[in-house]
Amino acid sequence: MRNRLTQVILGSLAVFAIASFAFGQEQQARPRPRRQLQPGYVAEGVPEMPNPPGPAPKHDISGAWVGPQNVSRDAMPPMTAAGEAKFKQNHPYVQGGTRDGDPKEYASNDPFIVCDPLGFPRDLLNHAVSSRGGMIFLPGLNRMFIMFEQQRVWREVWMDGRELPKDVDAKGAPDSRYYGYSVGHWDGDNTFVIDTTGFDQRAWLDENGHPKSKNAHIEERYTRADQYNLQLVATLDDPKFYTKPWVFLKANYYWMKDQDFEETLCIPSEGIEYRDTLARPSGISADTSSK
Amino acid sequence: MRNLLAGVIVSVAAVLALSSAAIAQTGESQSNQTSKAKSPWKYYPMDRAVGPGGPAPKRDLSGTWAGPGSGAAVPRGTNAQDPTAPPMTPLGQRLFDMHKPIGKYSPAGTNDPHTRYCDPFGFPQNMTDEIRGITITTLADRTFILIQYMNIWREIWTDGRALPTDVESGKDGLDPRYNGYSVGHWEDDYTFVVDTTGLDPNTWATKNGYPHTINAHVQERFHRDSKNDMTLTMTMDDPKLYTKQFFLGEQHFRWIPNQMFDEFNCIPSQVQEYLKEMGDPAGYDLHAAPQRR
Repeated sequence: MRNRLTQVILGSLAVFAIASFAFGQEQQARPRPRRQLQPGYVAEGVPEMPNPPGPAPKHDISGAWVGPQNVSRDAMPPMTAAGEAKFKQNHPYVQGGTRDGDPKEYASNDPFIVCDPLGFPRDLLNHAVSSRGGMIFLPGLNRMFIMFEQQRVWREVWMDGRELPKDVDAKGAPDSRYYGYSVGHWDGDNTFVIDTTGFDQRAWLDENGHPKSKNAHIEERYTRADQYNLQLVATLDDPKFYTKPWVFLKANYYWMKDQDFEETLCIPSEGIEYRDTLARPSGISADTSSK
Repeated sequence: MRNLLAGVIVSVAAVLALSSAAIAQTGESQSNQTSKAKSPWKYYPMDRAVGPGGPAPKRDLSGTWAGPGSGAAVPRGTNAQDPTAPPMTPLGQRLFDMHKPIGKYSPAGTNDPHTRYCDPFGFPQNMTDEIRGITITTLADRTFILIQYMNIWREIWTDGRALPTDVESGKDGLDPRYNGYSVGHWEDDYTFVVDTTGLDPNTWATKNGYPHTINAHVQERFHRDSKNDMTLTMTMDDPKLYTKQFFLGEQHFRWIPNQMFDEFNCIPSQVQEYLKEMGDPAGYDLHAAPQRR
């Protein structure tokens, strides 16, 4: 499936008015057959559940997983005053308009409109919004690599016992990053725990514009329940912006049967063309200058 | 070094005035890095592998490597930075003439989709341009190349499957991809050969604007010269556009001792801001001396 502009707009911005254009463009440009849904799959590439799944192998989550699915999150704790102030600066697109009201009056400044990097953890959450995507876990030299379908971006999780950086961007410390700095370890035979900090604050936490600070701490706990199911609980601890830790994502990932992802990219020139030729003329504002 | 906007402007827009600032920054960090406690999370370009480090391990390229753009004095290789093409067909010449590379047209006049928008380089340009660092790692059935610039990954299937034969016609039921479709095999204990086709036609094959078709066939040959050295040579066969095989160059890579490199991205919103405030107002002069990245 041709999936660039369509995925970006449907998945992240969720503007219904755009969807028909995007689909029309896709069909016109690429009249090619999709891979057919194969028997035994609940979705493309996903084995039907239960199969039944076999037991989870020990200390092994390597391979391609589809998700997140069955997504939920806990209620967000109150934000601090600094968190509220930052949140108000972010004007996301939401279904039917912006969070703050009429899209003709409130320009969205979602950085992903022009395909600025999603960053972590929005890359995890963006898959949930679009219901498409997944990731590959891949052990490497002293590390676990994680590769995402959307944007074809990757993270590395160090497993050599090092400590996380304490205060990124301080003198002599490493620079903040869109995908942060991560360490990982096994908790028991089947749970892989990742701790991440050091975030570039330009990337939002999620499509609703919730903020995260550079020294926020995010814990991901991936528990392989059986051969085909991987359960994630992700918790944000960011006392600068939130009064309590927040479980912002609980989800399930399924083993991908054919282990082969599509290439799903946000193409900046297409996003900018959409913004300038369709969104703005139709009255939907967008202010994508960098902050 | 903070490398996002600076990287975009220095590397992509080739603004010479800014590159001197960036060089000054790099020089400062180099002079300081020997006297300060080092972070395991930072890339230190002056920390370089010494000598060959021993014989090359067999059938193993895995690890993190510094490329010619890494600041680690890795030799530049041949042809890859400014490749010259073989004679083109009339169609190839027509497509080439439509491309306006930054080296000739400046940020204001170029229509290079990466320079103007940060669109993905796509393959093969993402293996010849802005080659700073790469990490190679494997699963049982494939090899992955994780590219520092733009944080992207490629996959190379090693399970014996055949390449799609004609993505362009749609007969394979496959769409062209920015990174194409790749298969790989070991030719001998030290040479890993990767064949790729099915390339997105919106991308350029090289930074100076040479085109490719969807069905172009690119071959990469990764040779592990020693523990610390790897050489990549690339060729492209695209008979619709070129009358002979196109040698895309030879590049060298050196082992990075702490296996770290920095995040380095082209940020679309920053490039738009730069073009609006500086690049486009500066205009361009076709008779000006070519700019070089």
